[in-house]
Amino acid sequence: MVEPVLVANHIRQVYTSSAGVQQEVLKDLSLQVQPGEFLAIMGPSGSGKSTLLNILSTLMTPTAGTVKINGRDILNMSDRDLAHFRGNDMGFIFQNYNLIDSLTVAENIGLPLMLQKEPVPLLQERTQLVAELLNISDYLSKYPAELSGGQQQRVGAARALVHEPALIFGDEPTGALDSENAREMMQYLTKINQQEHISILMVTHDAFSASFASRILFLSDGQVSGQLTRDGQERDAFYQDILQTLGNFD
Amino acid sequence: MLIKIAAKTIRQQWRDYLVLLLGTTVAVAIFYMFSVMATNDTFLKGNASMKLIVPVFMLGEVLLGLITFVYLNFANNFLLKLRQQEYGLFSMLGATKRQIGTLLMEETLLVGSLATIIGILIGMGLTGLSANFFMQLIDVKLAHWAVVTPQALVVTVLFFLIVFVLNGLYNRWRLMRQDTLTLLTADRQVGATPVKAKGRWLKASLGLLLLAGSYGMMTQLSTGGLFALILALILNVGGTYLFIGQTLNLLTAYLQTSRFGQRGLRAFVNGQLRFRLPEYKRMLTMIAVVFGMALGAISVGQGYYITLPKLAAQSSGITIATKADNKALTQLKAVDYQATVHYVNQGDKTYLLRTDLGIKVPTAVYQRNQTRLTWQPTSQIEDANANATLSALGIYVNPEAYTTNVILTDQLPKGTVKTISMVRTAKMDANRNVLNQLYQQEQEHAQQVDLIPGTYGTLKTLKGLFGGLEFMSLFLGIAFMIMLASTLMFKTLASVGTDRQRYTILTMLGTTRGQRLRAMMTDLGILFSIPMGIGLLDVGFGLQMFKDLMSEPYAGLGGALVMMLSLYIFYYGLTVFIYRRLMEQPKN
Repeated sequence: MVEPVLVANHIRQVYTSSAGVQQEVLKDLSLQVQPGEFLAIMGPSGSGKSTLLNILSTLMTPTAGTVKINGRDILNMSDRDLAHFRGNDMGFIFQNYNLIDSLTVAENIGLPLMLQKEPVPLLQERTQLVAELLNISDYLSKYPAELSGGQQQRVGAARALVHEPALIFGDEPTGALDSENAREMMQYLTKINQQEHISILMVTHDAFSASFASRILFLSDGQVSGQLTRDGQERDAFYQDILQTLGNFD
Repeated sequence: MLIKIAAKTIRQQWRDYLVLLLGTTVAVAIFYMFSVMATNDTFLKGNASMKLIVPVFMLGEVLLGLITFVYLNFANNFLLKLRQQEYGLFSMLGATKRQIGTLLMEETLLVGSLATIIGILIGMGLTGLSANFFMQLIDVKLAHWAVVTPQALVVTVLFFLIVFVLNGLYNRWRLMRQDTLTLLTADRQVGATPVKAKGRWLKASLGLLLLAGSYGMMTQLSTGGLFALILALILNVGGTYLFIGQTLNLLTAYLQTSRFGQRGLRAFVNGQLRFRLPEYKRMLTMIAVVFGMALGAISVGQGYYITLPKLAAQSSGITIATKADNKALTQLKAVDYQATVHYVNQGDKTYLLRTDLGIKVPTAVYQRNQTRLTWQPTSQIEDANANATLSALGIYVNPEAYTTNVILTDQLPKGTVKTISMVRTAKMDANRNVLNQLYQQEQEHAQQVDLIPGTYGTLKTLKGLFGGLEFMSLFLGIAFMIMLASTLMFKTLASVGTDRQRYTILTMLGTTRGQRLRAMMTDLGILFSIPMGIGLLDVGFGLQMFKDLMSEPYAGLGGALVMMLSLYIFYYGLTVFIYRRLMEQPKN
């Protein structure tokens, strides 16, 4: 039995408003991500999917529950360990790319390795490698402001990949892209998942993007309300399945 | 309605507004302190050395006005940055540009009026405090010092009213030029990318050359005169500008490709600098130049302070003379010479009993030089100090004063025999209180001569003469320092929007709080060091210009450095503190 990459058990998140009103955003939610899996989490606005992603990706601490990534309890780590863990074991891809505008593309991609103080030759080699994988080698000396949205997101993906993390988190990675660029981006993510054997956990509200995943969890009202597994289906067929499932929810 | 929303936002962002208000208040307070002196005619005319520096003073006020203007512009820019997004939202919801512009104007004026009122009150307090502090520090009494003058109030209020209205109009104009979308996405806008200009090597070398040229010029000022001074100033400003904009830019480009620059957060800090330099070069140039001037002013002032006692020490062989059989004399510490001399006055002749002196000098008559106000002995006395001391002593005790002939004899003639005591101590500072007491008692007796014999009297006279200059340099220097450090602080804090985004990304990518703090400290540290480094060089060479005017132009540099650097480092720390708080706090 292979150990899952991520195990989240009984996650609860309660927000208290300034008026003292409590709102339970996540209700006793549990999930697992297997090695090499491409998991998409779907759900309408307010279903708690962003909160869930923030908790799983160590950016937020839940009211209750446990999260383990690669067997390590991420909720009880010091600031230092957590930083080290983020820098080594996790990659992030954001909706609004989140590139540092004052650094060149090459510097943006290499940043996670610089932070780990990796030797410069290795850094350059890895940067070159992932840039080729994502077809952005021509832009390495440019600044983010000089690139299109699709290109910027590919830089974001390259940065998430450069340090060979165990798991990449995607927060609506195609949310800011047009349909053509979104398709391209999802093809790159599939490539990362299959060629580099990196697990991906992606939050999206877009059925088309979700159809690239191997499994989909549906969230509503802070709970898992359903699940779809691709099981070797063609992507188009899987897409139809998703649309149908979403229709049933309404 | 808009005002209500605006008031609510101000309440929510009160910390940011507090920073703005504090900065502006400091500007008002300093301007008020300056105006109190500048508009106080009796003060300027009533102090001997002040008359000499009235032009310097006027120039100082113009400079202060200019710096205040630039500084407030940065501070208000910070205000605009704080509110841009909200204005965009108002605009999208249907508020007209005119309404928003008026709102911004009202906010600017509100902050301005509050700052003016508080600033003037603080200014009054500081004027009182600083006057006492400085005067005690340099041991000088300045006459006709006032804390509140109607003129100063009017000048300050008018000046800031004009500045704030102009700034408000400028902000309003900038706001009206931007469309709703630009305002709404103000937070998400990326900075311009650094340009790889042609001929940057040439410009970078030119920067170094001009700067070196200006320093060369400063050392040659005694031969070049006013022309050399103006040329040095132009070369210095031009060189500084090119050095910051071009030479340092080239350095960041080099670091970008070096192995050193690709470790940890170095690439990030280097990127920050690369992006800041084009935007900051004008301001950093101004700060570097003013830093040099402020430090130079304090160095010169301190230099006088340090060299005056040395200058005074050459004037006489004793520290003080006292006619009375004074009990205070016994309280003096570290006395290395003391004598009580018997003397007789006969008309314009004063006979001093030589054997009382306890030093080897021949009998002599001190006669006044007909062309100059000096007394020369008839016998061969080689000790210049003995000559100065003995002639001054005779003049002091004789009612005929400056026409007195002083006769050094072994046999006093018939007449009323009186005594005078002389004392010398190497530690004038340690004995300051006793000496002051003696000096004041003597002043009551001394009627015919205003100069009490001894180095302490000379020092008092010199301080009266140069005290105003010392005081002004200290005051100007510290005021300029506060202004320029605050300007730099605000410029940096105004960029929090884009910086905050960068630091958020760093957090997500796996950096510890400590690493981020170090990055902030390095980033801001480099920014603060650039003008400081150039300013220090400016002073290092610039003090050469005073070598003809002062015996030891570098004597005051140490003390001035301690004062200025502590103030500067305090501002650096404050900036890091506020900046970090703005960086690490969640956006809403």
